[in-house]
Amino acid sequence: MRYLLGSLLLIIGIVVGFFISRLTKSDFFQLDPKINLIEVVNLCVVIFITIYIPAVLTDKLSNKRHVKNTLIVMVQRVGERLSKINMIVTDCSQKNSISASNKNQILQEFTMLSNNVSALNKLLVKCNKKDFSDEAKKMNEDRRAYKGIVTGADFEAKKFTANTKKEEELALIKFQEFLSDLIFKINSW
Amino acid sequence: MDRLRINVVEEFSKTPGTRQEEESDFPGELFLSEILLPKFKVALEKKVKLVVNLDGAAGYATSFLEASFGGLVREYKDIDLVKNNIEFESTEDPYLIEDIHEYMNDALKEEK
Repeated sequence: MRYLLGSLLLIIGIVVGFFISRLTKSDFFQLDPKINLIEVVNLCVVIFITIYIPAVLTDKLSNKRHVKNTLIVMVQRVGERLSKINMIVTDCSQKNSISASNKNQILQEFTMLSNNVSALNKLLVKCNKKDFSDEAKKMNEDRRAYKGIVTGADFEAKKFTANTKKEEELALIKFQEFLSDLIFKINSW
Repeated sequence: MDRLRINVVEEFSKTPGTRQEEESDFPGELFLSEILLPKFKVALEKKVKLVVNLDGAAGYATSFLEASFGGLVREYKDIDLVKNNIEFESTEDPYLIEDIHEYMNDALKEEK
Protein backbone atom coordinates (compact mmCIF):
# COMPACT_ATOMS: atom_id res chain seq x y z
CA MET A 1 0.00 0.00 0.00
CA ARG A 2 2.86 2.27 0.93
CA TYR A 3 4.61 1.58 -2.36
CA LEU A 4 1.36 2.24 -4.23
CA LEU A 5 0.84 5.59 -2.52
CA GLY A 6 4.44 6.57 -3.09
CA SER A 7 4.23 5.67 -6.77
CA LEU A 8 0.95 7.57 -7.08
CA LEU A 9 2.54 10.68 -5.55
CA LEU A 10 5.38 10.36 -8.02
CA ILE A 11 2.99 10.13 -10.98
CA ILE A 12 1.01 13.12 -9.72
CA GLY A 13 4.27 15.05 -9.33
CA ILE A 14 5.29 14.23 -12.88
CA VAL A 15 1.87 15.18 -14.28
CA VAL A 16 1.85 18.46 -12.34
CA GLY A 17 5.38 19.13 -13.52
CA PHE A 18 4.30 18.49 -17.10
CA PHE A 19 1.48 21.01 -16.89
CA ILE A 20 3.75 23.52 -15.17
CA SER A 21 6.22 23.14 -17.99
CA ARG A 22 3.39 23.92 -20.42
CA LEU A 23 2.71 27.08 -18.48
CA THR A 24 6.27 28.28 -19.11
CA LYS A 25 5.24 28.92 -22.66
CA SER A 26 2.62 31.37 -21.45
CA ASP A 27 3.27 34.96 -20.47
CA PHE A 28 2.28 34.47 -16.84
CA PHE A 29 5.75 33.42 -15.71
CA GLN A 30 9.04 32.39 -17.19
CA LEU A 31 10.86 29.20 -16.33
CA ASP A 32 14.31 28.16 -17.43
CA PRO A 33 13.70 25.44 -20.11
CA LYS A 34 17.17 23.95 -19.78
CA ILE A 35 17.46 20.64 -17.92
CA ASN A 36 20.26 20.55 -15.36
CA LEU A 37 21.54 16.99 -14.91
CA ILE A 38 22.62 17.62 -11.33
CA GLU A 39 19.15 18.81 -10.41
CA VAL A 40 17.59 15.73 -12.02
CA VAL A 41 19.89 13.47 -9.99
CA ASN A 42 19.08 15.50 -6.89
CA LEU A 43 15.38 15.04 -7.55
CA CYS A 44 15.79 11.28 -7.95
CA VAL A 45 17.75 11.04 -4.70
CA VAL A 46 15.12 13.03 -2.82
CA ILE A 47 12.37 10.79 -4.20
CA PHE A 48 14.37 7.73 -3.17
CA ILE A 49 14.95 9.07 0.33
CA THR A 50 11.38 10.15 0.96
CA ILE A 51 9.58 7.12 -0.45
CA TYR A 52 11.76 4.04 -0.54
CA ILE A 53 13.87 4.26 2.60
CA PRO A 54 11.02 4.94 5.09
CA ALA A 55 8.93 2.20 3.47
CA VAL A 56 11.68 -0.38 3.98
CA LEU A 57 13.35 0.85 7.17
CA THR A 58 10.12 1.53 9.08
CA ASP A 59 9.12 -2.13 8.82
CA LYS A 60 12.49 -3.39 10.03
CA LEU A 61 12.66 -0.92 12.92
CA SER A 62 9.09 -1.71 13.91
CA ASN A 63 9.77 -5.46 13.96
CA LYS A 64 12.87 -5.02 16.08
CA ARG A 65 10.91 -2.89 18.56
CA HIS A 66 8.30 -5.66 18.85
CA VAL A 67 10.98 -8.24 19.61
CA LYS A 68 12.57 -5.97 22.21
CA ASN A 69 9.22 -5.38 23.89
CA THR A 70 8.54 -9.13 23.99
CA LEU A 71 11.94 -9.80 25.54
CA ILE A 72 11.40 -7.10 28.15
CA VAL A 73 8.00 -8.51 29.09
CA MET A 74 9.61 -11.93 29.54
CA VAL A 75 12.36 -10.46 31.72
CA GLN A 76 9.70 -8.76 33.84
CA ARG A 77 7.91 -12.08 34.17
CA VAL A 78 11.06 -13.67 35.59
CA GLY A 79 11.31 -10.75 38.02
CA GLU A 80 7.69 -11.22 39.10
CA ARG A 81 8.28 -14.92 39.71
CA LEU A 82 11.27 -14.09 41.93
CA SER A 83 9.19 -11.59 43.87
CA LYS A 84 6.54 -14.24 44.43
CA ILE A 85 9.09 -16.66 45.85
CA ASN A 86 10.53 -13.91 48.02
CA MET A 87 7.05 -13.15 49.39
CA ILE A 88 6.51 -16.78 50.42
CA VAL A 89 9.96 -16.94 52.00
CA THR A 90 9.29 -13.68 53.86
CA ASP A 91 6.00 -15.07 55.13
CA CYS A 92 7.75 -18.24 56.34
CA SER A 93 10.45 -16.15 57.98
CA GLN A 94 7.91 -14.01 59.82
CA LYS A 95 6.02 -17.06 61.05
CA ASN A 96 9.28 -18.88 61.77
CA SER A 97 7.96 -22.02 60.10
CA ILE A 98 7.62 -23.61 56.69
CA SER A 99 4.35 -25.47 56.24
CA ALA A 100 3.98 -28.31 53.75
CA SER A 101 1.87 -25.99 51.65
CA ASN A 102 4.59 -23.30 51.65
CA LYS A 103 7.19 -25.88 50.75
CA ASN A 104 5.26 -27.21 47.78
CA GLN A 105 4.41 -23.71 46.65
CA ILE A 106 8.07 -22.65 46.74
CA LEU A 107 9.12 -25.71 44.74
CA GLN A 108 6.38 -25.20 42.18
CA GLU A 109 7.36 -21.56 41.79
CA PHE A 110 10.95 -22.60 41.15
CA THR A 111 9.77 -25.03 38.47
CA MET A 112 7.84 -22.18 36.83
CA LEU A 113 10.89 -19.92 37.21
CA SER A 114 12.96 -22.50 35.32
CA ASN A 115 10.41 -22.47 32.53
CA ASN A 116 10.34 -18.65 32.40
CA VAL A 117 14.15 -18.44 32.33
CA SER A 118 14.41 -21.17 29.71
CA ALA A 119 11.89 -19.48 27.38
CA LEU A 120 13.63 -16.12 27.78
CA ASN A 121 17.08 -17.62 27.20
CA LYS A 122 15.97 -19.41 24.05
CA LEU A 123 14.55 -16.19 22.61
CA LEU A 124 17.59 -14.12 23.61
CA VAL A 125 19.96 -16.50 21.90
CA LYS A 126 17.69 -16.76 18.85
CA CYS A 127 17.60 -12.97 18.47
CA ASN A 128 21.28 -12.34 18.90
CA LYS A 129 23.45 -15.25 19.94
CA LYS A 130 26.62 -13.17 19.99
CA ASP A 131 25.36 -10.47 22.33
CA PHE A 132 23.23 -12.46 24.71
CA SER A 133 24.82 -15.89 25.19
CA ASP A 134 26.73 -14.70 28.29
CA GLU A 135 23.55 -13.24 29.76
CA ALA A 136 21.64 -16.47 29.12
CA LYS A 137 24.34 -18.45 30.95
CA LYS A 138 24.50 -15.96 33.86
CA MET A 139 20.73 -15.98 34.28
CA ASN A 140 20.69 -19.75 34.66
CA GLU A 141 23.57 -19.60 37.17
CA ASP A 142 21.75 -16.97 39.22
CA ARG A 143 18.58 -19.07 39.11
CA ARG A 144 20.45 -22.13 40.37
CA ALA A 145 22.22 -20.13 43.07
CA TYR A 146 18.98 -18.56 44.31
CA LYS A 147 17.24 -21.94 44.35
CA GLY A 148 20.17 -23.40 46.26
CA ILE A 149 19.93 -20.73 48.94
CA VAL A 150 16.18 -21.08 49.33
CA THR A 151 15.82 -24.87 49.02
CA GLY A 152 19.28 -26.11 49.82
CA ALA A 153 20.78 -27.34 53.06
CA ASP A 154 18.02 -28.12 55.54
CA PHE A 155 15.24 -26.45 53.59
CA GLU A 156 12.29 -27.33 55.76
CA ALA A 157 14.16 -27.23 59.00
CA LYS A 158 15.86 -23.91 58.45
CA LYS A 159 12.65 -21.94 58.90
CA PHE A 160 14.34 -19.00 57.23
CA THR A 161 16.04 -17.46 60.24
CA ALA A 162 17.31 -13.88 60.12
CA ASN A 163 20.64 -14.97 58.64
CA THR A 164 19.20 -17.21 55.95
CA LYS A 165 16.60 -14.57 55.11
CA LYS A 166 19.38 -12.02 54.68
CA GLU A 167 21.25 -14.46 52.43
CA GLU A 168 18.10 -14.98 50.39
CA GLU A 169 17.51 -11.22 50.06
CA LEU A 170 21.10 -10.61 48.91
CA ALA A 171 20.83 -13.33 46.26
CA LEU A 172 17.49 -11.93 45.14
CA ILE A 173 18.84 -8.37 44.85
CA LYS A 174 21.79 -9.62 42.80
CA PHE A 175 19.45 -11.46 40.44
CA GLN A 176 17.11 -8.47 40.11
CA GLU A 177 20.03 -6.13 39.38
CA PHE A 178 21.11 -8.47 36.63
CA LEU A 179 17.57 -8.45 35.16
CA SER A 180 17.53 -4.63 35.20
CA ASP A 181 20.86 -4.52 33.39
CA LEU A 182 19.48 -7.02 30.88
CA ILE A 183 16.52 -4.75 30.11
CA PHE A 184 18.92 -1.86 29.40
CA LYS A 185 21.01 -4.09 27.17
CA ILE A 186 17.96 -5.30 25.26
CA ASN A 187 16.80 -1.70 24.73
CA SER A 188 20.16 -0.62 23.39
CA TRP A 189 20.54 -3.70 21.15
CA MET B 1 15.31 -54.59 27.91
CA ASP B 2 18.11 -52.09 27.63
CA ARG B 3 16.90 -49.75 30.34
CA LEU B 4 15.80 -49.95 33.92
CA ARG B 5 13.39 -47.25 35.04
CA ILE B 6 12.59 -45.29 38.17
CA ASN B 7 9.54 -43.06 38.34
CA VAL B 8 10.07 -40.84 41.38
CA VAL B 9 6.40 -39.95 41.80
CA GLU B 10 5.08 -43.50 41.45
CA GLU B 11 7.81 -45.24 43.42
CA PHE B 12 8.68 -42.66 46.05
CA SER B 13 6.61 -39.51 46.50
CA LYS B 14 4.76 -36.74 44.73
CA THR B 15 6.26 -34.35 47.29
CA PRO B 16 9.94 -35.17 47.68
CA GLY B 17 11.38 -33.68 50.83
CA THR B 18 14.78 -32.38 51.73
CA ARG B 19 18.02 -34.06 52.69
CA GLN B 20 17.54 -36.05 55.87
CA GLU B 21 14.79 -38.00 57.53
CA GLU B 22 14.87 -35.76 60.61
CA GLU B 23 14.07 -32.75 58.43
CA SER B 24 11.19 -33.96 56.33
CA ASP B 25 9.11 -36.80 55.00
CA PHE B 26 10.43 -38.41 51.81
CA PRO B 27 14.02 -37.15 52.13
CA GLY B 28 16.75 -37.54 49.55
CA GLU B 29 18.78 -39.90 51.69
CA LEU B 30 15.83 -42.28 51.96
CA PHE B 31 15.26 -42.15 48.20
CA LEU B 32 18.95 -42.93 47.71
CA SER B 33 19.08 -45.86 50.11
CA GLU B 34 15.68 -47.44 49.33
CA ILE B 35 15.29 -46.92 45.61
CA LEU B 36 18.13 -45.26 43.72
CA LEU B 37 21.09 -47.27 45.01
CA PRO B 38 19.48 -50.71 44.72
CA LYS B 39 18.22 -50.05 41.21
CA PHE B 40 21.50 -48.53 40.11
CA LYS B 41 23.30 -51.62 41.34
CA VAL B 42 20.94 -53.87 39.38
CA ALA B 43 21.41 -51.69 36.28
CA LEU B 44 25.18 -52.03 36.56
CA GLU B 45 24.94 -55.81 36.97
CA LYS B 46 22.67 -56.15 33.97
CA LYS B 47 24.77 -53.64 32.01
CA VAL B 48 21.76 -51.45 31.23
CA LYS B 49 21.09 -47.76 31.80
CA LEU B 50 18.99 -46.53 34.68
CA VAL B 51 16.44 -43.95 33.57
CA VAL B 52 14.99 -41.68 36.26
CA ASN B 53 11.73 -39.96 35.42
CA LEU B 54 11.31 -36.77 37.43
CA ASP B 55 7.96 -35.52 36.15
CA GLY B 56 4.80 -35.14 38.19
CA ALA B 57 6.34 -34.09 41.49
CA ALA B 58 5.52 -30.84 43.27
CA GLY B 59 9.14 -29.89 42.77
CA TYR B 60 12.62 -30.82 43.93
CA ALA B 61 14.53 -29.00 46.60
CA THR B 62 18.24 -28.57 45.98
CA SER B 63 18.93 -30.49 49.17
CA PHE B 64 16.91 -33.50 47.95
CA LEU B 65 18.68 -33.61 44.58
CA GLU B 66 22.10 -33.23 46.15
CA ALA B 67 21.44 -35.86 48.79
CA SER B 68 20.15 -38.43 46.29
CA PHE B 69 22.17 -37.96 43.12
CA GLY B 70 25.19 -36.34 44.70
CA GLY B 71 25.00 -39.12 47.26
CA LEU B 72 25.03 -41.72 44.48
CA VAL B 73 28.29 -40.28 43.16
CA ARG B 74 29.79 -40.24 46.66
CA GLU B 75 28.74 -43.87 47.13
CA TYR B 76 30.62 -45.05 44.05
CA LYS B 77 33.30 -42.35 44.18
CA ASP B 78 33.35 -42.42 40.38
CA ILE B 79 31.43 -39.71 38.60
CA ASP B 80 32.01 -41.11 35.13
CA LEU B 81 30.64 -44.50 36.13
CA VAL B 82 27.48 -42.91 37.47
CA LYS B 83 27.01 -40.46 34.59
CA ASN B 84 27.55 -43.11 31.94
CA ASN B 85 24.91 -45.40 33.46
CA ILE B 86 22.14 -43.00 34.42
CA GLU B 87 19.75 -40.88 32.39
CA PHE B 88 17.07 -38.44 33.41
CA GLU B 89 13.71 -37.51 31.99
CA SER B 90 12.14 -34.17 32.82
CA THR B 91 9.67 -32.30 30.66
CA GLU B 92 8.32 -29.99 33.36
CA ASP B 93 11.51 -28.26 34.47
CA PRO B 94 13.95 -27.53 31.64
CA TYR B 95 16.94 -27.02 33.94
CA LEU B 96 16.38 -29.86 36.38
CA ILE B 97 18.65 -32.32 34.59
CA GLU B 98 21.39 -29.74 34.19
CA ASP B 99 21.14 -28.89 37.91
CA ILE B 100 21.41 -32.56 38.85
CA HIS B 101 24.54 -32.88 36.75
CA GLU B 102 26.01 -29.85 38.54
CA TYR B 103 25.33 -31.41 41.94
CA MET B 104 26.85 -34.68 40.75
CA ASN B 105 29.93 -32.84 39.48
CA ASP B 106 30.30 -31.08 42.84
CA ALA B 107 29.57 -34.14 44.97
CA LEU B 108 33.15 -35.37 45.18
CA LYS B 109 34.62 -31.87 45.41
CA GLU B 110 32.75 -31.33 48.70
CA GLU B 111 34.31 -34.48 50.14
CA LYS B 112 37.78 -33.21 49.26
